[in-house]
Amino acid sequence: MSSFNEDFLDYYYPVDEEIYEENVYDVWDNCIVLSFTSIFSLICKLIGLNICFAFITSLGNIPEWLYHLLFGSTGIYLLFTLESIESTFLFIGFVLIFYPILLFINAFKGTKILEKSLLVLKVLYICLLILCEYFLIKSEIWMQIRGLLMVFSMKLISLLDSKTNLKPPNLLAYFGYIFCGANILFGPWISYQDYQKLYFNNTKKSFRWILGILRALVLSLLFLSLSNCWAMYFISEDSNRWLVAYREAFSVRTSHYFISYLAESSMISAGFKGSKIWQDSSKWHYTVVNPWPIEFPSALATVVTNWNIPMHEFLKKYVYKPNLKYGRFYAIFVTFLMSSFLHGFALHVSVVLVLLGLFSYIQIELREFLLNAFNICLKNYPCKQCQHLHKRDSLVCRFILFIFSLLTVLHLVFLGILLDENTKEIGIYEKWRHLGFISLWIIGLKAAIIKL
Amino acid sequence: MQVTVFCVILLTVLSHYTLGDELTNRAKNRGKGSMWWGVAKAGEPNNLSPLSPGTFYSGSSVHTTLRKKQKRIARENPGLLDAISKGANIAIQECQHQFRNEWWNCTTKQFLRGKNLFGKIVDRGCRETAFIYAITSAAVTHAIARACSDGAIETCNCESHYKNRPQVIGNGNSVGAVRDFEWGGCSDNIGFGFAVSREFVDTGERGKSLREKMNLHNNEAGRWHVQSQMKKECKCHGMSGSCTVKTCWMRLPPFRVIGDLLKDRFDGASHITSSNSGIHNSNKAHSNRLPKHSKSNSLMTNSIHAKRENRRKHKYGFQLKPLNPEHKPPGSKDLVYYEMSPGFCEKNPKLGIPGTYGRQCNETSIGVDGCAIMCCGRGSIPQEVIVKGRCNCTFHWCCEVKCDICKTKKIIHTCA
Repeated sequence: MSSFNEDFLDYYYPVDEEIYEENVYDVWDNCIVLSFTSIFSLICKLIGLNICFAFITSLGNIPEWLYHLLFGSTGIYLLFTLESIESTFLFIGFVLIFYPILLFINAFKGTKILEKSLLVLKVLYICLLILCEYFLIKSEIWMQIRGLLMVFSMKLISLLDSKTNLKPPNLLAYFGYIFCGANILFGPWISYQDYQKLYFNNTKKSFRWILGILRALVLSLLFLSLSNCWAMYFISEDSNRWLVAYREAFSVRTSHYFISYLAESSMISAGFKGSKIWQDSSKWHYTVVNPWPIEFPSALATVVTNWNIPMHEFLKKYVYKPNLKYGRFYAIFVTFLMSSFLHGFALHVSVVLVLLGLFSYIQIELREFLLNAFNICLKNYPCKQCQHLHKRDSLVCRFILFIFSLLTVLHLVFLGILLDENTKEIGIYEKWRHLGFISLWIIGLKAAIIKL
Repeated sequence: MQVTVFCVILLTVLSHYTLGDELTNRAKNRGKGSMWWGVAKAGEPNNLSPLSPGTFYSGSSVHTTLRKKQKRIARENPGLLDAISKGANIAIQECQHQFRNEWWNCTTKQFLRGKNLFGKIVDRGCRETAFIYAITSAAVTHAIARACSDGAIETCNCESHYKNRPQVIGNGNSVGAVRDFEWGGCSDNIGFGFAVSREFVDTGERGKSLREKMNLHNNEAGRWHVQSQMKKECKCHGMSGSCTVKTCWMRLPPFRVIGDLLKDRFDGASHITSSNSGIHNSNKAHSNRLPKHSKSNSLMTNSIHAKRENRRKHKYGFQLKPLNPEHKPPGSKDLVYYEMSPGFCEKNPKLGIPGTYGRQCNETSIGVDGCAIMCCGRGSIPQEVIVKGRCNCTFHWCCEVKCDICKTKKIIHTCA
């Protein structure tokens, strides 16, 4: 009987507690590797084709029609291999319909008939987009081409702009510009002049060119892994709701950085680069996004400008400046409305953009108010010869700037969570209720301060 | 190819003729099918001196616990046995965690040759046994998948002879989320874990007795829990919220999640019966062995894989019947049992139950872990002990937390 008791001695088997938790290997193997492999073929095609294109155009002396044809064909090929057939044809249809309209508008440039018909056209276009968004097209397909349409719309608007005395492109040039393989999928928007610049004044490729492509690619994959995997790994589902909301918004932002850097690498691989460094063959970058000022923002205005720099340029040039004569609030409002129209009228996106406009407007007003009331140097960009009572590096000024940064981060979380895909299931109201409508309260408070 | 054809035929014929012997043997060592649990102890230094992977499977304790087929699998996949041993340990730990507040607390005993790790309780086809089988096979699946992603097993990637991934399940209602996802490359670790767990864990369960069906079902249930918890997640990327590209990935849940799920199934386990021998698949009335006429057939048919698949279907394609005909038949994730659990309060050497003597209990709780229930009315003995714990923790920049170790007095209650 004595051995019986010994038989039941409880033995303790030490096992790493780690086995219960998701570890770095798991994240790597189950998430990062799979995420990368699911976009591997896309990257190969996108970058490979554009590099081929760059080689052919770098040979020199190819006829202009061939340039347009090649560039357009790469875009068409990318569409057919990467997107579904339905959405590809839909998109091509969309593009083709607008060529005659473009010619028509150019023919009647400066006449009164045009002013009226342009207005009708705009309204019709917006109606068409709303119809597509909600009724005409299956939502998966619409989701696929919405990004493409956004880039297309910007290109079209810049072509239609009546102020530039540009000769309308012929059909082949139009085809090449719109279906340009470097930016058809993920943008960025480029002007027609920049598109032609690559033909007339091609960039000199060197070994640094390859490094430039790789740099953008590595950054893009890094942000993809942050968005898909690391955010989940570091902030688990059962953490504090603010942390979870931050994670969700962070995931949305890093997903945008991923796309932006992918766009940058495809632009560079086709031979494009920033216009300031166009002649410098040792520097290769094409800035689409600036993550740093967005992650650590000083104001919402900096976030908006750095979110998509080419698009910001576009909006400033074609929307904000022409509307500035009607007042700043109006101009900001129209700009964000335009931006939301470009993004395709999905309710949550429009809400985010319009509120972003409102929030940043109130923030700017509040800064101005505090500046005048207490004589603190609070401008977004520090003034050169500061005449204020409290200088930029004074304690008061720093403290207020810090509060502003903090509130901006909060607003970004509050708005960013709407862009996550689960918004459709949960609903905007429910998501905000979960966070206690905090940003709305803050904005209300700010507005009240200004009014007083 | 022909060799395998021959082997399959030989196997079917052999199993046909040795059935009588098997039945008599089974009564003697019923727990033999689960002897592999012993590998949980293989990592301990007193059993095995060096822990290098090459010599691992030839260690004496491993040698006696594993069957021939299991040894072969271990030999073919270096690193696998290590993972299985780890899995068995996780299973024990998880089982003891899940049952820490119950009368039966998943006691394991010192492993001796020819004895079972979990004791004689597994001789009975009760709920506890069902849980043990399910959690061990689940833990092995989990541990193998984990070892694959750590790179501890090299053969998991692109292995050809484990390609027969789970496709047919009991009643087919719970096809895991993994199925509809095209895996990128060769990182199907969970699929490998599932397949190897079937090959390794289920080796012994070949017969058609109710007990063996029960074991098989519970093993499968454990594996299905792991498989179905493996989640596919996708995300859209594109210009501001559009879906120009979609990326997908998988997430293997922490094993605690699976332990919790299995504990829920334990509480709602279904009582099955062998009456009317309702253990066969609805469409075929024969057992897992191939019918006689297939001997001549199998030579003519060219699709040996179909035959193998057939065997596989037979092995796992059965439906157990509930004792109460009004109850739903058990699903592929349910645990099943056919004998009532013995009382765990008092010592029962026949069943190897130590009773709740000396178990720690909670004075204030009114649940099973409370002294009133845990000690089965025998009362508890308070005892003052010194507990070592971390205290005075301070945060150092950056990012470290330093603590002192303090001794505090605490009163614990143990059952009389």
